[in-house]
Amino acid sequence: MAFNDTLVIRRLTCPEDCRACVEACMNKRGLPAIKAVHLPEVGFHSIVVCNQCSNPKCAEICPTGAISKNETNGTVTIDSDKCVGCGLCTLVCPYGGIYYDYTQEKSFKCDRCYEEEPQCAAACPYGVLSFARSHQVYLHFHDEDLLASATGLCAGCPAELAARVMLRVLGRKVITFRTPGCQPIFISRVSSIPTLMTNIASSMTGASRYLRKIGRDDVICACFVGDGATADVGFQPLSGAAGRGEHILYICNDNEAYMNTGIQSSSTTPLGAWTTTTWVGKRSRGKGEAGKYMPLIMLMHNVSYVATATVAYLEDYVLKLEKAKEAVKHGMAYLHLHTPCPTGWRAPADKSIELSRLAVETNYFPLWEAEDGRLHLTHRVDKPKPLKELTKLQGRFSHLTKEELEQLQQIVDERFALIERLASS
Amino acid sequence: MTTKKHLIVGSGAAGLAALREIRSISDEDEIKVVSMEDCLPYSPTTLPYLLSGKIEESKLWIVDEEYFKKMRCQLALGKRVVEVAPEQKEVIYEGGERERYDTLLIATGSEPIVPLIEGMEEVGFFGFHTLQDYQELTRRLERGYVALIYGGGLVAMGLASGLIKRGCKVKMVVRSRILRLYFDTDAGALIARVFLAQGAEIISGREIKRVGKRGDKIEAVLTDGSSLSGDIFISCLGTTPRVSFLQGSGIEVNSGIVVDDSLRTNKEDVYAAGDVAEAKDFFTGQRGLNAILPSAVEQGKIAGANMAGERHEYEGWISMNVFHFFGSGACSIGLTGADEGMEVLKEEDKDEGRFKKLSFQDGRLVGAEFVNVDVDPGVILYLIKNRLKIGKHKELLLQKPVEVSRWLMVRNEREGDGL
Repeated sequence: MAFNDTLVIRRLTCPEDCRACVEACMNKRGLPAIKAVHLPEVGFHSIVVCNQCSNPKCAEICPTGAISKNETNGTVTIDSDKCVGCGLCTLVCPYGGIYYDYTQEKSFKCDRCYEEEPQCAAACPYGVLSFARSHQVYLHFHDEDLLASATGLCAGCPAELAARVMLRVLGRKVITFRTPGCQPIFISRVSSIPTLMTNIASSMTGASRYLRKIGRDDVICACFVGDGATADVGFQPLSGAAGRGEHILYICNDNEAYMNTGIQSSSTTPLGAWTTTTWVGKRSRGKGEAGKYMPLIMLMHNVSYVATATVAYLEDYVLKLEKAKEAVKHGMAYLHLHTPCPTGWRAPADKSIELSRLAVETNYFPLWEAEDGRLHLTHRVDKPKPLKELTKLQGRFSHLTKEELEQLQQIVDERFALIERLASS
Repeated sequence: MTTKKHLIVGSGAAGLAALREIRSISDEDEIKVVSMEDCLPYSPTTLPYLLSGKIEESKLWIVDEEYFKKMRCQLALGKRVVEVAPEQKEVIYEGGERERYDTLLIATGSEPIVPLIEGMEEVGFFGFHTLQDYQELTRRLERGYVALIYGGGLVAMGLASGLIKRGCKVKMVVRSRILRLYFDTDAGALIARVFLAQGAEIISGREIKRVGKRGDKIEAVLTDGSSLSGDIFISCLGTTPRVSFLQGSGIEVNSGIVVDDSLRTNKEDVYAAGDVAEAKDFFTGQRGLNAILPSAVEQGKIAGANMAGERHEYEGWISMNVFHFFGSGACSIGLTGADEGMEVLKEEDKDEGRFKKLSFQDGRLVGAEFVNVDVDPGVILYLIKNRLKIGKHKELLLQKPVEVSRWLMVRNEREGDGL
């Protein structure tokens, strides 16, 4: 399995005439393998660099087999002893990522600085270039898959993926807690304790305290429960446990309603959304109030680690799980997962990941984390998409008028502004 | 599901691409590659570079035995197929041995054209197409050796540049003009100028009427009565598909093996790819030969996928090449002629030896030629392949081909992402 760490070009345009990345690359290797493209005539300023393709055309065509994709780090590299300098690779690369060196009379390209942090990304002052270590995700795919292969969830439910990744990262030294509800962790190879929606946090507290008493603080008490148990019926013990800083890892699988029992509204259900208890008709226009934003409420409890995550940004989720796993040693860790529900949201089953991604790209569900109360955004969206992009895929919002959608947009904007203020303070 | 046995005849670029593709689709199927040459796969493209000493001979092989083991592919070297029997689903090897297949790929490549000139038997035909040709040539070469090259295509030019680098004298006879298929007259003249400055002699617009031995020298007499003398005569008049073994097989052969858009021949489960195949032209949709490495790889991939049971369609080949010589570089992609309805923009700087030419049809780029302009040829190809509307940016593309082509590519990629 290749660890596909990637150089990410954010969809921003670069400042005019900036050559910081090109110069950093030149300092490192003489000839720049990243190219700045400045075209003031059309206002285009950006960069091109090798994509490290999964099926590189340059490697397919190389007549001496000099180009190959490194199986351990995913980098596409040229064996200079084998390169004849025919330039055919430059003819088939559609992305302008491989070049001809007239001095050496051989091809050259970005080697992503091998195992080091790429110099171009380190030198970019504008956040256009960054280095994504999706490596971390793949590392965990060497670990045992602790979740059963079958799932009792609805078609297209992303909670299975979220739970599978959760167990891969947490490993075997864990006791999972569950409640009635959509429960992807029901069948797994780790111990699991069923509790009720109203007492899950206190049950975990008891188990965790006992484990610490007998010297087994290496075992993590973790749950994967819905928004109803978290924000409504189980809120009191959760708030209590958070206030006391219990050593528990609490994952809220937020699909924005009581989905398992038949799509009844919960306190995280957003304004205007249809559910079976918030009808759409003459006297009711879906839910009448804004959804409760649990992650900030948990942050205000002085929890050691609070983060938001979605499966569309898996590497971000994995890093947060790793931090949460570490944070439980010092106090409580709370992860708030946003989980599209095709059934309850009246959305196509094949659009779950897209919905997760759109929720982030519209700032509806910003990705952030707070370590010991210090909040920062882990994925900044450059040009947030209008909320409509997210709502138009969901039947539960199909009745919304322009004005109603604007109200929801306003809630999203205000909430995001608040998070940004917290992030910058 | 039952597993299939895929037989690939030929271990060149097309055969290897098919092997990769089949294995990536099917983990179970049996694959066998048969090569008539008694050595690991190599590409004729590299021979001029071997000659100029760019790499060691030991670095020539595209893949090694280990690779075939990893791909779980049986490799049979030095085995020549002499007959194909599509009704029995069998190939027959030299010596009479028969082998069954479920799907067959004919990727036997091409062989050099032997010129019909007087005295050819006396002098002996010498081409520059196989490793054996290269080995024989280097065995004979001495410093100061004079080589007579007949032809002015890419193989001839590559050979000439390799020989010059080894300190040989090169005399070329070209029937029309050099690199006629890839570059127009002006661009060709710029390239020729570089070769002339390196001491090459290029006689254009003449044919060789007769060759013969005179002492230990070889003499060539041209159509205009003049004559040239050298130590070796190498003919590079292009190639022709290696199809003679298909006679009587019922597989349709025109100038090459005729294939449909799935790269299948007229016979079920028999596919052809690479130099040997007469496949669809990207622009006209007509069948035609296109003996270049990029087309071989592309066709091999599509044929392989279809052999493994998927359904893939070939977009058609586009004529293209890149050529580096004595610190200069040239590339040609797409159409080079000035057909009706084609808009051509051209710019030349004779002093700097720079040349740019773009051909458009209906506002779309259909051809490009560059000499000593450091463009990304692949990005230019991207614009052509994706039939991007260039519209009002044509002039700008000519002025700043590097930046504008990258911009159009990036814009299209990002819009493709829904941005």
